[in-house]
Amino acid sequence: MTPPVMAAPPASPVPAPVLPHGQGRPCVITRRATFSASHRYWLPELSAEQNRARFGACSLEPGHGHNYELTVAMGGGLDADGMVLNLSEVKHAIREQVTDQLNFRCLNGVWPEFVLERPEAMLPTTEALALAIWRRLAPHLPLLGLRLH
Amino acid sequence: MEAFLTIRTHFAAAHRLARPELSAEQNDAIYGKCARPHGHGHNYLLEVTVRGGIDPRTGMVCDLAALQERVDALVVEPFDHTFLNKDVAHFATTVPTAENIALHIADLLSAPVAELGATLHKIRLQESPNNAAEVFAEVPQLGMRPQALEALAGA
Repeated sequence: MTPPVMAAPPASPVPAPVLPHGQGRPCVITRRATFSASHRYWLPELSAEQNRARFGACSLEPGHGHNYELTVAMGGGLDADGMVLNLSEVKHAIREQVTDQLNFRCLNGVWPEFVLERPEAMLPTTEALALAIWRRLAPHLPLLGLRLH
Repeated sequence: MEAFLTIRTHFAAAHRLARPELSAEQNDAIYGKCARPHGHGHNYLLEVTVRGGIDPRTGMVCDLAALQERVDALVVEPFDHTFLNKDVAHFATTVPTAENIALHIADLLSAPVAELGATLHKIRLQESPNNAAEVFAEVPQLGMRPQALEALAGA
């Protein structure tokens, strides 16, 4: 595998003005949130034996739980107040769009994408949940990435 | 073959988030509790990532002890157990948000790291268990892991 190539940003012909409080300089911020939720891996179109064979312990009734840790990475230039964005906005968006809806819930059926009677729905795996969270946060925050543990 | 080398250190410091040119009411509206007049403190965790070729004989990207000494001398000693707004000249006029502290650390270390024969890649400053700021001192090109994955790898 060829080693990665790195470079400094191309020099601009006119140097960018230095603004107070770091305004305009790019930065990434990360915010962590936790929630506890349960789920069960069980597909209605499979038999009990198939579900047990496919999903093992994750298919056991009545489901099992996790303490999820969500890390949200956001980026942009600093605003006039020296922040990528105000953390209270970030906390509010994460609370409203994610943790208030998922904390202490059963994930199966909590959101439309996990209602298995719907043909386009899927099991609330970590990956599927991360994607669902992305879709809900992206309209509110300048997302660069999400990690769900 | 190139590699990234990261060192981790910490310092304790107080700060106050307030823009000196604004009124107390304005600062309170923007920064909330972080603008309270007597400041508040954090145990900052700092990660400094440098990039370079691995020396074929020493196996090093750069002299680790020398890198640690530079970070201690240029960042940790001047910032540790201080009130950033008053004790670090840059923060008299630039509001010491986590982002701005990370940017300033990147600015302070860029040339010294180059003198050690490596390139400063990233500064990650964790202000509390729940939030961190990251500054990429160089722009990844095609073939690199996306910026977001790198940010999350350290989070």
